[in-house]
Amino acid sequence: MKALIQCRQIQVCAWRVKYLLRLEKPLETGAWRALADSWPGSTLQLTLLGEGRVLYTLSLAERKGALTGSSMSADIYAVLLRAEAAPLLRELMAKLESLL
Amino acid sequence: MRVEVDTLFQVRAARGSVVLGGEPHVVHCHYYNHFLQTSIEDAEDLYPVEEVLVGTAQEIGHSLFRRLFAELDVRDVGRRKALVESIYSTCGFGKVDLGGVNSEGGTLATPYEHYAYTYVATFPPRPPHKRGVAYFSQGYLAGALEAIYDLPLGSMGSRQVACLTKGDSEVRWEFFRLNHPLPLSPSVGEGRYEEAELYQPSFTRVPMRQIRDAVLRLPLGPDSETGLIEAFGVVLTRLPGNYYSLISERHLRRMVEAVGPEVADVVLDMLIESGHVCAFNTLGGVMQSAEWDAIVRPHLDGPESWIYGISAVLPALGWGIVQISVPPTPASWRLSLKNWYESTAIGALSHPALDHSPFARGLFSGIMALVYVARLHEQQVMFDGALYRNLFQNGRRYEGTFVESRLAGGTADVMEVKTK
Repeated sequence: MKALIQCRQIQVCAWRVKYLLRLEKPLETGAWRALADSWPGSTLQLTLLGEGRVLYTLSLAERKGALTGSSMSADIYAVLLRAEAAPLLRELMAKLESLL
Repeated sequence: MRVEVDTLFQVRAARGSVVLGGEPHVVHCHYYNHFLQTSIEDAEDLYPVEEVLVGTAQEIGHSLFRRLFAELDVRDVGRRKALVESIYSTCGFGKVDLGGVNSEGGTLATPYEHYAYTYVATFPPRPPHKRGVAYFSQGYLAGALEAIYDLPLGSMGSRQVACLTKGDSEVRWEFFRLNHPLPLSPSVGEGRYEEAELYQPSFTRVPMRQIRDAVLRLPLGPDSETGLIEAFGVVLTRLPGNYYSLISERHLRRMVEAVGPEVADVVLDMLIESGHVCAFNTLGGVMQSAEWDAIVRPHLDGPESWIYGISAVLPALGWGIVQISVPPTPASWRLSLKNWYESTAIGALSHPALDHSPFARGLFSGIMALVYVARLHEQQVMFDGALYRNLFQNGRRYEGTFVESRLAGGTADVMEVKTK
Protein backbone atom coordinates (compact mmCIF):
# COMPACT_ATOMS: atom_id res chain seq x y z
CA MET A 1 0.00 0.00 0.00
CA LYS A 2 1.32 3.41 -0.88
CA ALA A 3 2.08 5.62 2.12
CA LEU A 4 -0.18 8.66 2.39
CA ILE A 5 2.71 10.83 3.52
CA GLN A 6 6.31 10.82 2.40
CA CYS A 7 8.70 12.26 4.92
CA ARG A 8 12.36 13.21 4.66
CA GLN A 9 14.87 15.38 6.44
CA ILE A 10 15.98 18.36 4.41
CA GLN A 11 18.02 20.34 6.92
CA VAL A 12 19.78 19.33 10.08
CA CYS A 13 22.00 21.05 12.61
CA ALA A 14 22.86 20.51 16.27
CA TRP A 15 19.73 22.38 17.29
CA ARG A 16 16.92 21.45 14.96
CA VAL A 17 15.76 19.29 12.10
CA LYS A 18 13.69 20.47 9.16
CA TYR A 19 11.46 17.84 7.59
CA LEU A 20 9.53 17.86 4.35
CA LEU A 21 6.22 16.05 4.57
CA ARG A 22 4.75 15.38 1.14
CA LEU A 23 1.02 14.70 1.16
CA GLU A 24 -1.21 13.68 -1.71
CA LYS A 25 -2.89 17.08 -1.84
CA PRO A 26 -2.71 20.40 0.02
CA LEU A 27 -4.28 20.50 3.46
CA GLU A 28 -7.35 22.69 3.68
CA THR A 29 -7.92 25.32 6.33
CA GLY A 30 -10.15 23.02 8.39
CA ALA A 31 -7.44 20.38 8.55
CA TRP A 32 -4.89 23.00 9.64
CA ARG A 33 -7.27 24.07 12.40
CA ALA A 34 -7.63 20.45 13.48
CA LEU A 35 -3.86 20.15 13.61
CA ALA A 36 -3.68 23.27 15.75
CA ASP A 37 -6.24 21.79 18.14
CA SER A 38 -4.04 18.73 18.62
CA TRP A 39 -1.32 20.48 20.58
CA PRO A 40 -2.09 22.74 23.55
CA GLY A 41 -0.73 26.25 23.28
CA SER A 42 -0.28 26.10 19.53
CA THR A 43 -1.26 29.01 17.32
CA LEU A 44 -2.24 28.96 13.67
CA GLN A 45 -1.51 32.00 11.52
CA LEU A 46 -3.16 32.35 8.11
CA THR A 47 -1.57 34.77 5.66
CA LEU A 48 -3.57 35.66 2.56
CA LEU A 49 -1.22 35.90 -0.42
CA GLY A 50 -3.78 37.04 -2.99
CA GLU A 51 -5.62 35.10 -5.70
CA GLY A 52 -7.03 32.82 -3.02
CA ARG A 53 -3.64 31.55 -1.94
CA VAL A 54 -3.11 31.00 1.78
CA LEU A 55 0.09 30.46 3.75
CA TYR A 56 -0.33 28.49 6.97
CA THR A 57 2.08 28.80 9.90
CA LEU A 58 1.40 26.60 12.90
CA SER A 59 3.55 27.34 15.93
CA LEU A 60 3.78 24.48 18.42
CA ALA A 61 4.89 26.70 21.27
CA GLU A 62 5.10 24.08 24.02
CA ARG A 63 7.09 21.71 21.81
CA LYS A 64 9.26 24.47 20.31
CA GLY A 65 8.36 23.44 16.79
CA ALA A 66 6.67 24.95 13.76
CA LEU A 67 4.83 23.72 10.68
CA THR A 68 4.35 25.71 7.50
CA GLY A 69 2.41 24.91 4.37
CA SER A 70 0.25 26.56 1.77
CA SER A 71 -2.90 26.07 -0.23
CA MET A 72 -0.68 25.88 -3.33
CA SER A 73 1.36 22.85 -2.39
CA ALA A 74 0.97 19.39 -0.92
CA ASP A 75 4.27 19.89 0.90
CA ILE A 76 4.43 20.77 4.59
CA TYR A 77 7.66 21.82 6.29
CA ALA A 78 8.22 20.94 9.93
CA VAL A 79 11.03 22.51 11.94
CA LEU A 80 11.45 20.53 15.16
CA LEU A 81 13.84 20.59 18.07
CA ARG A 82 16.34 17.81 17.49
CA ALA A 83 15.80 16.38 20.97
CA GLU A 84 12.02 16.26 20.46
CA ALA A 85 11.98 15.50 16.77
CA ALA A 86 11.42 11.75 16.73
CA PRO A 87 8.40 11.53 19.07
CA LEU A 88 6.83 14.73 17.77
CA LEU A 89 7.24 13.61 14.18
CA ARG A 90 5.43 10.35 15.02
CA GLU A 91 2.57 12.31 16.59
CA LEU A 92 2.43 14.61 13.63
CA MET A 93 2.41 11.82 11.07
CA ALA A 94 -0.35 10.00 12.94
CA LYS A 95 -2.44 13.14 13.11
CA LEU A 96 -1.94 13.89 9.44
CA GLU A 97 -2.85 10.32 8.48
CA SER A 98 -6.10 10.70 10.39
CA LEU A 99 -6.90 13.92 8.54
CA LEU A 100 -6.31 12.59 5.02
CA MET B 1 2.84 51.98 25.44
CA ARG B 2 2.31 49.62 22.50
CA VAL B 3 4.12 50.64 19.35
CA GLU B 4 3.26 49.18 15.93
CA VAL B 5 6.77 49.22 14.57
CA ASP B 6 5.96 47.43 11.32
CA THR B 7 4.31 50.56 10.00
CA LEU B 8 7.49 52.57 10.59
CA PHE B 9 9.53 50.59 8.05
CA GLN B 10 9.63 52.43 4.73
CA VAL B 11 9.89 50.26 1.63
CA ARG B 12 11.96 52.02 -1.03
CA ALA B 13 11.16 49.92 -4.06
CA ALA B 14 13.43 51.89 -6.37
CA ARG B 15 16.37 51.19 -4.07
CA GLY B 16 15.55 47.62 -3.10
CA SER B 17 15.76 48.72 0.49
CA VAL B 18 13.67 48.84 3.65
CA VAL B 19 14.47 51.81 5.86
CA LEU B 20 13.83 52.61 9.50
CA GLY B 21 15.16 55.74 11.17
CA GLY B 22 17.25 56.50 8.08
CA GLU B 23 18.95 53.10 8.31
CA PRO B 24 18.49 50.46 5.59
CA HIS B 25 17.62 47.18 7.30
CA VAL B 26 18.50 43.82 5.78
CA VAL B 27 17.37 40.29 6.57
CA HIS B 28 20.00 37.72 7.48
CA CYS B 29 20.03 34.46 9.40
CA HIS B 30 21.84 33.36 12.53
CA TYR B 31 24.34 31.24 10.63
CA TYR B 32 25.54 34.22 8.65
CA ASN B 33 25.50 36.47 11.72
CA HIS B 34 27.66 34.07 13.68
CA PHE B 35 30.01 33.28 10.84
CA LEU B 36 30.83 36.93 10.26
CA GLN B 37 31.06 37.83 13.94
CA THR B 38 33.14 34.80 14.92
CA SER B 39 35.50 35.32 11.99
CA ILE B 40 36.13 38.89 13.11
CA GLU B 41 36.32 37.87 16.77
CA ASP B 42 39.06 35.38 15.91
CA ALA B 43 41.35 38.38 15.37
CA GLU B 44 41.07 39.44 19.01
CA ASP B 45 44.79 38.88 19.59
CA LEU B 46 45.64 41.22 16.72
CA TYR B 47 43.48 44.22 17.51
CA PRO B 48 40.64 45.10 19.96
CA VAL B 49 37.71 43.64 18.04
CA GLU B 50 35.14 45.19 20.39
CA GLU B 51 36.01 48.56 18.89
CA VAL B 52 34.65 47.25 15.60
CA LEU B 53 31.84 44.95 16.71
CA VAL B 54 30.46 47.12 19.54
CA GLY B 55 31.50 50.58 18.35
CA THR B 56 29.89 50.18 14.93
CA ALA B 57 26.61 49.05 16.49
CA GLN B 58 26.72 52.01 18.86
CA GLU B 59 27.12 54.46 15.99
CA ILE B 60 24.18 52.94 14.16
CA GLY B 61 21.94 52.68 17.24
CA HIS B 62 22.61 56.31 18.09
CA SER B 63 22.01 57.63 14.55
CA LEU B 64 18.92 55.48 14.02
CA PHE B 65 17.11 56.48 17.20
CA ARG B 66 18.12 60.13 17.12
CA ARG B 67 16.59 60.36 13.69
CA LEU B 68 13.54 58.27 14.50
CA PHE B 69 12.72 60.24 17.65
CA ALA B 70 12.94 63.44 15.60
CA GLU B 71 10.84 62.04 12.72
CA LEU B 72 8.11 60.94 15.12
CA ASP B 73 8.56 63.90 17.48
CA VAL B 74 8.95 61.55 20.45
CA ARG B 75 10.43 63.56 23.32
CA ASP B 76 9.27 61.71 26.41
CA VAL B 77 11.86 59.27 27.82
CA GLY B 78 9.24 56.65 28.60
CA ARG B 79 7.91 56.71 25.05
CA ARG B 80 11.40 56.64 23.63
CA LYS B 81 12.25 53.57 25.70
CA ALA B 82 9.05 51.83 24.59
CA LEU B 83 9.92 52.52 20.98
CA VAL B 84 13.42 51.10 21.37
CA GLU B 85 12.06 47.99 23.10
CA SER B 86 9.50 47.44 20.32
CA ILE B 87 12.02 47.89 17.53
CA TYR B 88 14.48 45.60 19.28
CA SER B 89 11.92 42.78 19.19
CA THR B 90 10.45 43.58 15.79
CA CYS B 91 13.92 43.29 14.28
CA GLY B 92 14.37 39.89 15.92
CA PHE B 93 17.14 40.93 18.32
CA GLY B 94 15.26 39.45 21.29
CA LYS B 95 13.54 41.03 24.27
CA VAL B 96 14.79 43.88 26.38
CA ASP B 97 13.26 45.98 29.15
CA LEU B 98 14.85 49.41 29.50
CA GLY B 99 13.25 50.11 32.89
CA GLY B 100 16.56 49.63 34.71
CA VAL B 101 18.61 52.31 32.97
CA ASN B 102 18.78 56.09 33.14
CA SER B 103 20.98 58.85 31.76
CA GLU B 104 23.91 57.61 33.88
CA GLY B 105 23.56 54.04 32.59
CA GLY B 106 22.59 50.95 34.56
CA THR B 107 22.15 47.26 33.94
CA LEU B 108 20.07 45.49 31.30
CA ALA B 109 19.42 41.76 31.28
CA THR B 110 17.46 39.36 29.10
CA PRO B 111 17.20 35.61 28.56
CA TYR B 112 16.46 36.26 24.89
CA GLU B 113 19.13 37.84 22.71
CA HIS B 114 19.59 36.69 19.09
CA TYR B 115 23.32 36.03 19.06
CA ALA B 116 23.50 34.40 22.49
CA TYR B 117 20.35 32.31 22.16
CA THR B 118 21.17 30.93 18.74
CA TYR B 119 24.83 30.37 19.56
CA VAL B 120 24.03 28.15 22.53
CA ALA B 121 21.43 26.24 20.54
CA THR B 122 23.52 25.66 17.45
CA PHE B 123 27.23 25.65 18.14
CA PRO B 124 29.67 23.83 20.43
CA PRO B 125 30.54 25.54 23.76
CA ARG B 126 32.85 28.53 23.51
CA PRO B 127 36.28 28.42 25.12
CA PRO B 128 36.00 29.67 28.74
CA HIS B 129 38.30 32.66 28.20
CA LYS B 130 36.03 34.15 25.53
CA ARG B 131 33.63 36.97 26.39
CA GLY B 132 29.89 36.75 25.68
CA VAL B 133 28.66 36.92 22.09
CA ALA B 134 26.15 39.79 22.36
CA TYR B 135 28.42 42.47 20.84
CA PHE B 136 25.80 43.92 18.51
CA SER B 137 23.11 44.39 21.17
CA GLN B 138 25.66 45.88 23.54
CA GLY B 139 26.60 48.64 21.11
CA TYR B 140 23.11 49.11 19.69
CA LEU B 141 21.61 49.57 23.15
CA ALA B 142 24.43 51.91 24.24
CA GLY B 143 23.71 54.07 21.18
CA ALA B 144 19.99 53.88 21.85
CA LEU B 145 20.51 55.04 25.45
CA GLU B 146 22.53 58.01 24.23
CA ALA B 147 19.71 58.92 21.86
CA ILE B 148 17.02 58.44 24.49
CA TYR B 149 18.75 60.89 26.85
CA ASP B 150 19.99 63.27 24.12
CA LEU B 151 23.60 62.44 24.96
CA PRO B 152 26.45 62.78 22.47
CA LEU B 153 27.54 59.76 20.48
CA GLY B 154 30.27 57.86 22.31
CA SER B 155 29.42 59.13 25.77
CA MET B 156 28.00 55.83 27.02
CA GLY B 157 30.40 53.02 27.82
CA SER B 158 29.30 49.40 28.00
CA ARG B 159 30.42 45.91 28.80
CA GLN B 160 28.81 42.50 28.66
CA VAL B 161 29.00 40.79 32.05
CA ALA B 162 26.91 37.64 31.57
CA CYS B 163 25.99 35.44 28.62
CA LEU B 164 24.07 32.27 27.87
CA THR B 165 27.26 31.10 26.17
CA LYS B 166 29.11 31.35 29.50
CA GLY B 167 26.56 29.17 31.31
CA ASP B 168 24.61 32.14 32.69
CA SER B 169 20.81 32.14 32.62
CA GLU B 170 20.66 35.51 30.91
CA VAL B 171 22.58 38.02 28.86
CA ARG B 172 23.53 41.05 30.93
CA TRP B 173 25.24 44.31 30.06
CA GLU B 174 26.37 47.25 32.15
CA PHE B 175 26.21 50.80 30.80
CA PHE B 176 28.03 53.78 32.29
CA ARG B 177 28.84 57.35 31.39
CA LEU B 178 32.36 58.01 30.14
CA ASN B 179 34.48 61.02 31.04
CA HIS B 180 36.13 60.88 27.65
CA PRO B 181 33.84 59.95 24.75
CA LEU B 182 34.63 57.07 22.46
CA PRO B 183 35.92 58.12 19.00
CA LEU B 184 32.80 57.14 17.08
CA SER B 185 31.23 58.58 13.92
CA PRO B 186 27.57 58.93 12.95
CA SER B 187 26.23 56.21 10.70
CA VAL B 188 26.35 56.64 6.92
CA GLY B 189 22.56 56.17 6.80
CA GLU B 190 21.36 55.50 3.26
CA GLY B 191 24.87 56.11 2.06
CA ARG B 192 25.72 56.52 -1.61
CA TYR B 193 22.36 55.19 -2.75
CA GLU B 194 21.22 54.73 -6.31
CA GLU B 195 17.81 53.99 -7.80
CA ALA B 196 16.55 51.65 -10.49
CA GLU B 197 13.53 49.63 -11.52
CA LEU B 198 13.56 45.90 -10.90
CA TYR B 199 14.16 44.77 -14.49
CA GLN B 200 11.79 42.20 -15.96
CA PRO B 201 13.83 40.07 -18.38
CA SER B 202 11.94 39.28 -21.57
CA PHE B 203 13.38 35.77 -21.65
CA THR B 204 11.61 34.50 -18.52
CA ARG B 205 8.02 34.28 -17.32
CA VAL B 206 9.11 34.64 -13.68
CA PRO B 207 7.32 37.83 -12.54
CA MET B 208 10.11 39.64 -10.72
CA ARG B 209 8.11 42.53 -9.26
CA GLN B 210 5.16 40.35 -8.29
CA ILE B 211 7.46 38.03 -6.32
CA ARG B 212 9.26 40.91 -4.63
CA ASP B 213 5.98 42.50 -3.59
CA ALA B 214 4.56 39.24 -2.25
CA VAL B 215 7.68 38.56 -0.17
CA LEU B 216 7.54 42.11 1.20
CA ARG B 217 4.07 41.32 2.52
CA LEU B 218 5.16 38.15 4.34
CA PRO B 219 4.74 38.46 8.10
CA LEU B 220 8.32 38.02 9.30
CA GLY B 221 7.38 38.90 12.84
CA PRO B 222 9.02 37.91 16.11
CA ASP B 223 7.79 35.34 18.58
CA SER B 224 5.92 37.26 21.28
CA GLU B 225 7.76 35.51 24.11
CA THR B 226 11.31 35.54 22.78
CA GLY B 227 11.46 38.42 20.29
CA LEU B 228 13.21 36.07 17.87
CA ILE B 229 12.10 35.65 14.23
CA GLU B 230 11.81 32.02 13.16
CA ALA B 231 11.33 31.39 9.45
CA PHE B 232 12.61 29.11 6.69
CA GLY B 233 14.22 26.81 9.28
CA VAL B 234 16.58 29.53 10.52
CA VAL B 235 16.41 32.45 12.95
CA LEU B 236 16.31 35.79 11.15
CA THR B 237 17.22 39.33 12.06
CA ARG B 238 16.37 42.60 10.35
CA LEU B 239 19.63 44.30 11.18
CA PRO B 240 20.86 47.65 9.86
CA GLY B 241 22.84 46.68 6.76
CA ASN B 242 25.45 49.32 7.53
CA TYR B 243 26.50 47.20 10.49
CA TYR B 244 27.54 44.25 8.33
CA SER B 245 29.16 46.48 5.72
CA LEU B 246 31.11 48.61 8.16
CA ILE B 247 32.35 45.79 10.39
CA SER B 248 33.60 44.03 7.22
CA GLU B 249 35.34 47.20 5.99
CA ARG B 250 36.80 48.06 9.39
CA HIS B 251 37.95 44.53 10.05
CA LEU B 252 39.86 44.51 6.78
CA ARG B 253 41.42 47.88 7.56
CA ARG B 254 42.38 46.90 11.11
CA MET B 255 43.85 43.60 9.97
CA VAL B 256 45.99 45.28 7.33
CA GLU B 257 47.18 47.80 9.92
CA ALA B 258 47.99 45.03 12.39
CA VAL B 259 49.55 42.44 10.10
CA GLY B 260 50.34 44.09 6.79
CA PRO B 261 48.84 44.16 3.28
CA GLU B 262 49.51 40.47 2.73
CA VAL B 263 46.62 39.61 5.08
CA ALA B 264 44.04 41.33 2.86
CA ASP B 265 43.46 38.24 0.70
CA VAL B 266 42.81 36.13 3.80
CA VAL B 267 40.20 38.61 5.05
CA LEU B 268 38.61 38.90 1.62
CA ASP B 269 38.37 35.14 1.39
CA MET B 270 36.58 35.06 4.74
CA LEU B 271 34.11 37.70 3.55
CA ILE B 272 33.50 35.73 0.34
CA GLU B 273 32.91 32.68 2.49
CA SER B 274 30.33 34.63 4.47
CA GLY B 275 28.41 34.96 1.20
CA HIS B 276 28.51 31.19 0.75
CA VAL B 277 27.24 30.71 4.30
CA CYS B 278 24.39 33.11 3.60
CA ALA B 279 23.45 31.55 0.26
CA PHE B 280 23.48 28.10 1.78
CA ASN B 281 21.55 28.79 4.95
CA THR B 282 19.32 31.82 4.32
CA LEU B 283 18.63 31.41 0.62
CA GLY B 284 18.75 27.60 0.74
CA GLY B 285 16.19 27.78 3.54
CA VAL B 286 14.03 30.13 1.51
CA MET B 287 14.16 27.90 -1.58
CA GLN B 288 12.91 24.91 0.39
CA SER B 289 10.03 26.54 2.23
CA ALA B 290 6.27 26.82 2.17
CA GLU B 291 6.63 30.52 1.33
CA TRP B 292 8.68 29.67 -1.75
CA ASP B 293 6.21 26.97 -2.77
CA ALA B 294 3.31 29.41 -2.52
CA ILE B 295 4.81 32.57 -3.97
CA VAL B 296 7.65 31.66 -6.30
CA ARG B 297 7.49 28.02 -7.31
CA PRO B 298 4.30 28.22 -9.38
CA HIS B 299 6.28 30.40 -11.81
CA LEU B 300 9.34 28.15 -12.09
CA ASP B 301 10.36 25.53 -14.58
CA GLY B 302 14.04 25.04 -15.45
CA PRO B 303 17.12 25.82 -13.36
CA GLU B 304 17.51 29.38 -14.67
CA SER B 305 14.04 30.24 -13.43
CA TRP B 306 15.21 29.44 -9.91
CA ILE B 307 17.95 32.02 -10.33
CA TYR B 308 15.43 34.64 -11.45
CA GLY B 309 13.10 33.66 -8.61
CA ILE B 310 15.63 34.02 -5.82
CA SER B 311 16.98 37.23 -7.39
CA ALA B 312 13.47 38.69 -7.18
CA VAL B 313 13.36 37.86 -3.45
CA LEU B 314 16.55 39.80 -2.61
CA PRO B 315 15.10 43.36 -2.83
CA ALA B 316 12.45 42.28 -0.34
CA LEU B 317 15.25 41.32 2.05
CA GLY B 318 16.56 44.88 1.64
CA TRP B 319 19.79 43.91 -0.09
CA GLY B 320 19.35 45.97 -3.28
CA ILE B 321 18.19 45.13 -6.79
CA VAL B 322 19.56 42.36 -8.98
CA GLN B 323 19.28 43.09 -12.71
CA ILE B 324 19.65 40.17 -15.11
CA SER B 325 19.93 41.23 -18.72
CA VAL B 326 21.59 38.09 -20.11
CA PRO B 327 20.23 34.60 -19.36
CA PRO B 328 22.46 32.66 -16.96
CA THR B 329 23.89 29.31 -18.04
CA PRO B 330 25.50 26.54 -15.98
CA ALA B 331 28.87 28.03 -16.96
CA SER B 332 28.33 31.71 -16.26
CA TRP B 333 26.01 34.41 -14.95
CA ARG B 334 26.42 38.11 -15.56
CA LEU B 335 24.40 40.44 -13.38
CA SER B 336 24.18 44.07 -12.32
CA LEU B 337 23.58 45.12 -8.75
CA LYS B 338 21.72 48.35 -8.07
CA ASN B 339 21.99 49.92 -4.64
CA TRP B 340 23.68 46.78 -3.33
CA TYR B 341 23.73 47.49 0.40
CA GLU B 342 27.42 46.82 0.93
CA SER B 343 28.52 49.09 -1.93
CA THR B 344 26.09 51.79 -0.87
CA ALA B 345 27.33 51.85 2.73
CA ILE B 346 31.03 51.62 2.00
CA GLY B 347 30.74 54.00 -0.95
CA ALA B 348 29.83 56.73 1.51
CA LEU B 349 33.24 56.46 3.19
CA SER B 350 36.29 58.32 2.00
CA HIS B 351 39.10 56.02 0.89
CA PRO B 352 37.55 52.67 1.84
CA ALA B 353 39.72 49.59 2.12
CA LEU B 354 37.23 47.45 0.18
CA ASP B 355 37.05 48.09 -3.57
CA HIS B 356 34.12 45.73 -4.17
CA SER B 357 31.56 43.67 -2.24
CA PRO B 358 33.16 40.34 -1.33
CA PHE B 359 29.90 39.23 0.27
CA ALA B 360 28.20 39.50 -3.14
CA ARG B 361 30.95 37.42 -4.75
CA GLY B 362 30.26 34.58 -2.34
CA LEU B 363 26.50 34.98 -2.38
CA PHE B 364 25.95 34.80 -6.13
CA SER B 365 28.50 32.00 -6.53
CA GLY B 366 26.52 30.24 -3.82
CA ILE B 367 23.26 30.64 -5.71
CA MET B 368 24.84 29.15 -8.83
CA ALA B 369 26.15 26.20 -6.79
CA LEU B 370 22.75 25.59 -5.20
CA VAL B 371 21.03 25.52 -8.57
CA TYR B 372 23.54 23.87 -10.86
CA VAL B 373 25.47 21.60 -8.46
CA ALA B 374 22.94 20.76 -5.72
CA ARG B 375 20.21 20.91 -8.41
CA LEU B 376 17.59 22.33 -6.09
CA HIS B 377 15.21 22.68 -9.01
CA GLU B 378 15.04 18.92 -9.48
CA GLN B 379 15.01 17.53 -5.99
CA GLN B 380 14.58 18.21 -2.32
CA VAL B 381 18.11 18.51 -0.99
CA MET B 382 19.44 17.67 2.45
CA PHE B 383 21.14 20.78 3.83
CA ASP B 384 23.88 19.58 6.14
CA GLY B 385 27.61 19.87 6.61
CA ALA B 386 28.34 17.32 3.89
CA LEU B 387 26.47 19.34 1.26
CA TYR B 388 28.17 22.55 2.36
CA ARG B 389 31.60 20.96 2.05
CA ASN B 390 30.70 19.54 -1.34
CA LEU B 391 29.54 22.91 -2.68
CA PHE B 392 32.02 25.28 -1.12
CA GLN B 393 35.01 23.60 0.48
CA ASN B 394 36.10 20.63 -1.63
CA GLY B 395 37.15 23.01 -4.36
CA ARG B 396 34.68 25.84 -4.90
CA ARG B 397 32.62 25.21 -8.01
CA TYR B 398 31.93 28.82 -8.90
CA GLU B 399 33.80 32.07 -8.52
CA GLY B 400 32.31 35.55 -8.64
CA THR B 401 34.27 38.59 -9.76
CA PHE B 402 33.38 42.23 -10.21
CA VAL B 403 33.74 43.36 -13.82
CA GLU B 404 32.97 46.89 -12.65
CA SER B 405 32.62 48.18 -9.11
CA ARG B 406 31.27 51.43 -7.73
CA LEU B 407 33.79 51.12 -4.89
CA ALA B 408 36.64 51.08 -7.41
CA GLY B 409 35.46 54.22 -9.18
CA GLY B 410 33.06 52.55 -11.63
CA THR B 411 29.60 53.83 -12.38
CA ALA B 412 27.91 50.49 -11.67
CA ASP B 413 28.32 47.18 -9.87
CA VAL B 414 28.58 44.46 -12.52
CA MET B 415 29.45 40.89 -11.60
CA GLU B 416 30.28 37.73 -13.42
CA VAL B 417 30.01 34.30 -11.85
CA LYS B 418 31.84 31.52 -13.66
CA THR B 419 32.76 27.91 -13.15
CA LYS B 420 36.27 27.52 -11.81
